[in-house]
Amino acid sequence: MTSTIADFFAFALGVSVIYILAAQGMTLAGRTGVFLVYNEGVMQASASAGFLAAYLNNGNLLIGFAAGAIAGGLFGVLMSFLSVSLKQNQFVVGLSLLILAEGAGNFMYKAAIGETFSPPSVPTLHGFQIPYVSSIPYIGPILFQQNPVFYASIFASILIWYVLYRTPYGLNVRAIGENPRVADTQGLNVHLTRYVYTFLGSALIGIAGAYIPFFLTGSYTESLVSGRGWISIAVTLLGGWKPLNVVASGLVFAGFEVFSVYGQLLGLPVSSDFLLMVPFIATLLILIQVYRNAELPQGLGRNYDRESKID
Amino acid sequence: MKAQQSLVISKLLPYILSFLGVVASVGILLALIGKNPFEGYRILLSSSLGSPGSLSLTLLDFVPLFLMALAFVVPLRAGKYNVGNEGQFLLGAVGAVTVSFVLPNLPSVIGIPLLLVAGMAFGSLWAVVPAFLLYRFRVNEIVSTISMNFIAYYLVLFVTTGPWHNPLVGYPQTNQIGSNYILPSLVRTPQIGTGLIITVLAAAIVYFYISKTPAGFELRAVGANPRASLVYGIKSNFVSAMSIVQGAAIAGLAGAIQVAGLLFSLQYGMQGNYGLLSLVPALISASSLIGVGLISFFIAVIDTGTSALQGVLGVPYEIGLLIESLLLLLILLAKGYGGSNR
Repeated sequence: MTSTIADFFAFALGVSVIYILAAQGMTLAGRTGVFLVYNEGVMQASASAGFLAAYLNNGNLLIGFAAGAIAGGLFGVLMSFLSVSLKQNQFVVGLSLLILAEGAGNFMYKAAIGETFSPPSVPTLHGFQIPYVSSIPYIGPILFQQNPVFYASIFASILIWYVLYRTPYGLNVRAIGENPRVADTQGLNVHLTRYVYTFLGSALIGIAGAYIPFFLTGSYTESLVSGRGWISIAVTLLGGWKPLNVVASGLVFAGFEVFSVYGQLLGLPVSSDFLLMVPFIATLLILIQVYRNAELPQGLGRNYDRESKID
Repeated sequence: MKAQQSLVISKLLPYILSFLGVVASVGILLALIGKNPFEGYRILLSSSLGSPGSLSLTLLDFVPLFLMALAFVVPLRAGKYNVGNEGQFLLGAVGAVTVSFVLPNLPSVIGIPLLLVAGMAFGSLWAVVPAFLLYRFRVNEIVSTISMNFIAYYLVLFVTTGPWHNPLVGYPQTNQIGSNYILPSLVRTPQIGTGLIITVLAAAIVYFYISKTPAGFELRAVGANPRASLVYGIKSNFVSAMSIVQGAAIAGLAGAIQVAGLLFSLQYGMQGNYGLLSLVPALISASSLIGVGLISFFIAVIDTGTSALQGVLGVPYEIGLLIESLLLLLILLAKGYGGSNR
């Protein structure tokens, strides 16, 4: 029983990387005023790109993650071009790109691999034993035997927090998300900043997508993302678009996901179908609380047009 | 007259250019994966429009697509994104089989209307949750309706593997509904089923509702400017929340028709890609229901054609999603360059 509890938390931390990275990506773009809704699709496309790149390079996961980031970043460029430059509604553009990405992911995989009886696979990520501390009972296996990407995602989160909330530059970036017109009159480059942060954010979402096959399955399937992209939006909302809170809320949602898997192992007298609903029911309940005291970037979801007279 | 003509052309131009762009890029895509583009076009069109039989297949696909697009358009007119139409569709299907299994011996005259109404009711009830969350707590409907989709998938899995499970198939699927619940087909070739008639009727009702009734006016007013509507005396929050429930009734109807007209049982995964695909006509042509119908038909052609393309040429079926999203993106691009936003 004790080892089950340690396993539960260790696995939840591993899963949390998906949510933390994707939600951190959304936060980056959101802080400059661009609302990304396409996580689910972009994660599918970048999981495909990442898996294929790794598979064709003898299972080199680093190349896989790079490919996932590039695939995600490409969608970021398209997103910014259509919404920031051409002023099309961000939700409409996001949903359009979501469909493109859902199609592209499976299309690329099938065009490259085809339908196979047993899917090709790559070796999954290994835990990384941090010397000395990894052998502490309970805490060691949970915190100090995770894979390198987990530590990288925590480091990235702290870095994002530091840059956005502890530097003058970060204040400027956030100003663009709060009030682009004022930021513009202060001489800040609204469009360029939105481009850069949408690109970076989408690349992070791409890495989150590539992490799924590399951590969970080792192979690509059509239902790989299965709602995690949508849940990552809820993670961002619960985290209030603040990098450190996003880490905490990513852990919470990872807990729900792992609970829906472990629930059966623990012998809960509930049908597995209902356990699988848990993360989504939790999302609904949490959203209620989130919107009661929501603090969104004020310019979120709205395109900025310098020549328009009304905001 | 001449000025009018050129206005029509300039309005249609982005759509025509986008269509040509899609045709060209699909050709390039086919060539890239080593297939003959012209062979591809030929198979795509002949398998979806080439014969009465293939036209029947396309029309069968058109019915759920068009209804799902309407289920997205109605709330969209009030400024809400009902991406949960997939879950509402599934609940409609659950409602349909529930009626047929709980009341197995009703005569068709009562049974079929009851089945359709149950589909609409189940679909709407499913949307009451996100609508209430939106109305009461201002919860963004995109995430909440999507969450309801996933809950619906697992609910369908539960129902299709539960007591109504058909043990003869190795797949989560219920037993067949009774023959008294099956929608009759009116014309054999090309097959025109009752489902198509109901769909056209539903579209007419939606059109009448949106453009000719006071409630439809309120819906459009809220979509155009919720704050101004509130000042004018319209309960904006209530109208926009209710729009999701109304859209959901249409999605539920689609699910019920799919059960009673095509599949004759509830099947896990029966939603296919309808949710995603239905966004395309709705987002391209939110302001014109005729446009939604035409583009839904276009998508049904692509959807049917690409299934054949996969079977004959081995082109992945997902090329359909690429075609449809490209059309949408190119139209956004053209609109962007034409200087119209939102």
